[in-house]
Amino acid sequence: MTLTNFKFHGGIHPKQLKDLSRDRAIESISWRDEDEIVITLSQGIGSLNHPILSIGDSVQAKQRISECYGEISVPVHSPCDGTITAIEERPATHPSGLQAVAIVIKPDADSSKIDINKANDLVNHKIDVSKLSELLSSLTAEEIISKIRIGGVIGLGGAGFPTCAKLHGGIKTNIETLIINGMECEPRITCDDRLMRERAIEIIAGVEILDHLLHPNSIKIGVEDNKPEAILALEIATTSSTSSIEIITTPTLYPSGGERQLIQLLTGKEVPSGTLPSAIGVVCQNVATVAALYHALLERPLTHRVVTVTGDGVESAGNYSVPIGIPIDSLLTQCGVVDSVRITVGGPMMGFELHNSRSPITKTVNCLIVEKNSSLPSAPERYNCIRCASCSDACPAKLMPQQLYWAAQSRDFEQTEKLNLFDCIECGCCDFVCPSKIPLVSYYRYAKGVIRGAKQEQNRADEARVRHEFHDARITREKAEKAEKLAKKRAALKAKKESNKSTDKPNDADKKGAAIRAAIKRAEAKKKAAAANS
Amino acid sequence: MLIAALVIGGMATLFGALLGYASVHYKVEGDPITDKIDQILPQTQCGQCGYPGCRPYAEAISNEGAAINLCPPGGETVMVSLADLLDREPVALEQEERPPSLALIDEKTCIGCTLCIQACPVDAILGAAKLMHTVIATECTGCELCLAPCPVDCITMEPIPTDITDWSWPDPDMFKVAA
Repeated sequence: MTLTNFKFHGGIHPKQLKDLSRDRAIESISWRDEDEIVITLSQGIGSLNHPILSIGDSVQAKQRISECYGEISVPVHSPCDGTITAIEERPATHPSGLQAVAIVIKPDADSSKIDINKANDLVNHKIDVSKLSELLSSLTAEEIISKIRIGGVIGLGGAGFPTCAKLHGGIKTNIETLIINGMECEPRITCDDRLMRERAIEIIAGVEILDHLLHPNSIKIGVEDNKPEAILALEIATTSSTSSIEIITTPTLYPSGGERQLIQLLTGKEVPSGTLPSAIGVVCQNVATVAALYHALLERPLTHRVVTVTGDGVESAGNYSVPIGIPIDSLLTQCGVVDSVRITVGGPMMGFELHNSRSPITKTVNCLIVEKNSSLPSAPERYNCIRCASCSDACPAKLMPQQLYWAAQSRDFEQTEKLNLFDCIECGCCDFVCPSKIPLVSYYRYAKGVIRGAKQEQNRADEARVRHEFHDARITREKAEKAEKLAKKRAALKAKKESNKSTDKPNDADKKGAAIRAAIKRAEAKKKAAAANS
Repeated sequence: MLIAALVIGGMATLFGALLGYASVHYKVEGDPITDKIDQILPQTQCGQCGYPGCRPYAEAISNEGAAINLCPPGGETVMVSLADLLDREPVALEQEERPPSLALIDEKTCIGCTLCIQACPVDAILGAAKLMHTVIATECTGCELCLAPCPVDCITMEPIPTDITDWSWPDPDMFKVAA
């Protein structure tokens, strides 16, 4: 274990509030008999999936149930044996509260409710290293990535970026540092902490796969110093590893788990604005993602994940391994939520309020915060900006939040872009420190939406212009072609007529004359023959 | 005196030659202002402005000084952008702003007459004579030009629903006013 020498700009120290769930071991919670499994087709970032089965088809646990096109997209799998009962719009686990197309599966009564393979690994507490290295050496890099993709692995830290896409970028460039993100810097969340404590061997096995794939010069696992047990567990697991893995401890500071912030913390290098980490030779993966890709390589697709359930509205807060697709209300009822509560999906800093508790757990849900409505503080009164610049001091992306706020508020979106709005990671540090309680991030999110919408509109308009120009060109060309054809026909007709006048008639006369002459000859010959006969 | 006249005369010739050269060498192809206006217009090609398409309207604005408030699909955004570009005063829209919509062919009623295909300015309708037609939703600009030619009135304009992929966060000031 080493301490980091680097730091990033800004950051805040919100109350950790992790005690409710950090000492609760990962337990399995599954569907009840009356539940159905709802698997949203588009999970995380990427193009939409298409179902490959129809209503009434039976599925088996771990069976792939969708097809995806394009590199930045991964399929989804069924967590249970069951029957597909519907493919329709269902409430999505999304800040909009809108609906999204989902595959609905009714689990069979005798379907296994726990993630058997992962459970077995845990019981044996051992990973067959020689088998893994044998498997790795028999596959090409492309095959390994394709297995990870078909296994449905996306970033489990929150954003849900398909892992295969990151790795594709990684094998194309020379990767200097592989960074594994075990920071879990948001308050309340403890699922990665528990995963590192209990399943460090799976994480290290996943790291070895990435080592084999990317050949980085160094591998660093970053963990905040508020998780000493996790650091210890990782240290023990790395002792038997063939890869040289460095575990680096960083001071507890939000948002040190942000990808760019973590890279700066561990390497001292800043990822330039508008580029990906691979541009400076870094690939960054979350610990849970790394464990998931290890399972994906062994044909165990991503069908379960660990979710932290916490807050004062839940009786048994803890960390639960749950099937992806289980309705959130089923999970919460089983955890003992009865009161009228507010549910936040994700951490308290970057999470969003859930509109419909029938929405399912998706691959990117890492935490559910359940708070009693009665204990919620009333919305703080908002004052005007006093230009104290506390937000600039706190901003980990080194932006000028108050300037961005003024520009966004006055709808000067061009100016927000000039102020590098799109470098904002929406971490909420500025909201946290603002003495006037201005919801700054919601202004940035709004501005980003408007700008993206305008760009989309512009793209559509450009496409329409091209199509219209092509349409016009086609009409003109068709007209010209028609006119040309007509002109040719006319010319041909004219030529025919003229040739009829000049040459055809004498020809006809010749032909007629010849025929007459031939007939006269034949008649003469007949007469001669008749005369000779008589 | 003579030297001064020669120097001035020489300079005049030199700069004249330079300007002449520049005007030939750096000649701008096309009409940059019309292009810029065309860039702002929404390219629905609907003709609701009274001109037979976006490009003709752009030409009319730049050459004939046509009004900048004639584009209903573009709405206020386009009008304000045009006012900015041309340094004119923003004016209220001539017609009501229209939310974006898509044409939808009722495929049971369609008789396959191809009239709408000929009317579509962006070739967004697919079909053949006496066969069912359908609108390519991603290409349709919502111009409504296919509505009038349809002999069986089987085309309707449907508002575009917001789904998760194009949803964006609402304006926080909306809540401030409400609260």
